[in-house]
Amino acid sequence: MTNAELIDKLLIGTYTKTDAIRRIRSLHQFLENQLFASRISEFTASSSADVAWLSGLGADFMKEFTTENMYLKVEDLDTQIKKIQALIIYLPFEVPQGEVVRLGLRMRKDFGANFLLEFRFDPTLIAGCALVWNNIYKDYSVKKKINLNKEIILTSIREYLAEQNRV
Amino acid sequence: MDNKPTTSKPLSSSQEVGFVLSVRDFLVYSDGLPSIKINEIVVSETGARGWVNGLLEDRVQILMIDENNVQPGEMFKRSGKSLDLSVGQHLIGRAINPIGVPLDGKGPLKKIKADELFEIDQEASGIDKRQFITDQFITGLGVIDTLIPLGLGQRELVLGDIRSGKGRFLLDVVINQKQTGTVCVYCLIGKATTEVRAIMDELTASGALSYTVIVAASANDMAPLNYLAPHSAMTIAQYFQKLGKNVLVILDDLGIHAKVHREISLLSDKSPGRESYPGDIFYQHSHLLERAGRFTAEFGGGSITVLPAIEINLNDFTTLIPTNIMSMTDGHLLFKSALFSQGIYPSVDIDLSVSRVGRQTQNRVQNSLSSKIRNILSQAKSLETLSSFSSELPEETQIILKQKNILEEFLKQDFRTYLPLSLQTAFLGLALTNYLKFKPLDVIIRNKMVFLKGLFEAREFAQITANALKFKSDDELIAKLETVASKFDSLIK
Repeated sequence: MTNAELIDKLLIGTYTKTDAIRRIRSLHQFLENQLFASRISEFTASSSADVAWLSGLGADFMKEFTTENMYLKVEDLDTQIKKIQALIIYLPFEVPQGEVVRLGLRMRKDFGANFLLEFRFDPTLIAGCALVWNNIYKDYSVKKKINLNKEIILTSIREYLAEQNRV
Repeated sequence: MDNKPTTSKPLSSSQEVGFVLSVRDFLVYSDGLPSIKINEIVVSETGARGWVNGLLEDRVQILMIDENNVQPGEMFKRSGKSLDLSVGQHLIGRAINPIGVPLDGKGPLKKIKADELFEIDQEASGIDKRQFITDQFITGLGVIDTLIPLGLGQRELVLGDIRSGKGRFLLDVVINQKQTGTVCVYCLIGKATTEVRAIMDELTASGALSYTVIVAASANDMAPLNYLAPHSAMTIAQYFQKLGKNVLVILDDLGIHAKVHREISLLSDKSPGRESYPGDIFYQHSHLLERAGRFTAEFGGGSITVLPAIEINLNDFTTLIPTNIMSMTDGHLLFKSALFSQGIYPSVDIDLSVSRVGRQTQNRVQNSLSSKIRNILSQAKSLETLSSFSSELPEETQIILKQKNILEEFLKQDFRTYLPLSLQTAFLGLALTNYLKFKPLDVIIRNKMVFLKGLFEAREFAQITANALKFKSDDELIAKLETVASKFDSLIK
């Protein structure tokens, strides 16, 4: 398998860059345990999803790693994953895992099989979202809209208060 | 590059961003920011500002100028602004940090207008914008104005060991600019906060703050602020110079500035050179000091006189930084703690100090008087060695040694005193008269202030003093003083 094919296999079911980097680390630990440990122990990962993902890689995938090439190969895969540009989405709430998967699948349908996302939590956005792609930040949040129309909003509030006082 | 106002780009609906890769104290490396330029300001998610200092192949080097805990992965946005400073008349009488934040507790500075923003790091003006230095910079201290004169637009290094009176001298020079219309910019680099406060109080008490701007980055401020302090001071100086004013800039002290630059460079993995300073340490100081000078009327007229200070070990002042700065300035004043502890002020070693440009600014009387005094002092020095071997000295030798003692006494001055040029000249001319040559030394020393006061106030002498600089030569001045010197007999004790 070429490195590109290994990456494609790794990214099946992995939709965010954070997950991808974490899973590479899990793979590293798993391979170390399998190839170098004097006594092979049962592998435990941070989540059952990671364990399931690791099992899903298959024997053909694991055959690519030997005691001679394991460290270099994993380091190379890690570098390649980190080079993939992810779409960073700032949201004012934590995204549930189900939504991550749904969004990830939709993005891959439109933009390619190895498309990765990155979710960040920013409650100051109030609502809406902000996106970063290709180092360009675009703000589609309510906070931005409020800032753009600050003077109009403040004027309206002052007028309302003035009216209330008259009444 | 002229001292032009900056033009900040308005923020568009989309912004370039980068994410922090690594953090080393105040040094941050970020990816992204594809079309960022050097000297631009970037802002983190928490509002902390960083100054783009380097563009590497795959990273942007940012120096933080606001205190903040930056985390890896944090986003930096382009602000569209470059590193600039709001400069104007509103800075007079204020103490600010290098990025324009007031430190003196007198409230915020006035609102910033676009045409008052100037880039902090600027290139020096070209030769076509400069003029020959012809006017003397008056310090009000006899030993400097007569023997080691400075010119308006000169750069004179002030160096000395610890407790040698450099700080007092610099303060005196600022305070003595009271009636000259000179704007002073006092820049403190890496000094203790208490020292910064003491200098502010001193300038306020003496009334000097009414024509002075203080730019201070104290020892507990971040290294980038200490690095920027002298650049900000020169930017402020250039603003006032363009208005046709004479400006005095004091940079205290450039040795600390060099250390700060070394710290930043070593942290950013630049190869260390001699004494671990980076390879561009000479350029950092030279392009700063080259912003001083005297300028043509088309370029605003005015002048910027710089007194960079540096603390050294007198046992070895041939280390890198002092020798670098000596080579890029127009002379140096060497202060010695041994002289200071003997009560001599200003504690300048006249033999080891030099002013390469100041002599051309003196008038002929001062010039010839200065040559005569230097001659006597130098002769006395060689004769002093001989006198330690001989108990009986020829009369001529005794006279020279006595004149040397009189001159040394007359060159001493108290702190916070100002002597006008004409009075300095008359006073030192009096020291060379036959009248004092044959007076007992202890009488002369005891009545020093009587002589000084008499020259200034007594009717017989005031006229000569007022015209001291108008005589054809120093011999004529001395001869004139001889004719009326005996009138001192009624005044002295």
